[in-house]
Amino acid sequence: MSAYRQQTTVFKDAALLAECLRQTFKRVDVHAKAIHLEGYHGDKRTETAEIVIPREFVGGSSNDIGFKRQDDGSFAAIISEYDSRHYGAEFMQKLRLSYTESFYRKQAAKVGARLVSKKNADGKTVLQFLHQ
Amino acid sequence: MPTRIITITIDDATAESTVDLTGYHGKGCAAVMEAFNGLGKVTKEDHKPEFKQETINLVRK
Repeated sequence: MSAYRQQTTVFKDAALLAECLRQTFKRVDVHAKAIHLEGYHGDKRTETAEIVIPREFVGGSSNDIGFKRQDDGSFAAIISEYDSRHYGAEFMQKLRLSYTESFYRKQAAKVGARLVSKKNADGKTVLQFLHQ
Repeated sequence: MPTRIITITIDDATAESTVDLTGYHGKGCAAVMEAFNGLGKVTKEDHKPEFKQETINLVRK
């Protein structure tokens, strides 16, 4: 082993987050400036977000789902209580996993490494990249 | 040239991850690790003997 690092995952890359959200939702809009989210009646809500999943693509009688950039540059989810029933903690956990894996795949490719194996065991996902 | 392998382990419950670089030395190791900056907060970092080997070799020259 040459070097070792342990780190957490924070949603910071808007494009990467949007790409991961598109695995679940058919449409995900990324706005340079935060826009007001809409409720299921088409009413404009006070909450704003830069990454928005329009309510039509969330589900029937759903509200927009948004991810708003915070002061530290990270994105925080804005999900209504109604939509949290379907897109709650489990959804966010899967999203975080998807984002984490996508980040490593993207960055490994940037340095010229290629994925040679992916394994799931004991509650962990292990990716191995070969860097020639 | 030793085989250079990057091993990523992701905890499915927390999404906390570890990056293990093997077969790298010195600046090459640091450059690759830098590519994995920006994911989140680094909670632990360590360099192993072979990371320092390149520095020792440069000093000897």
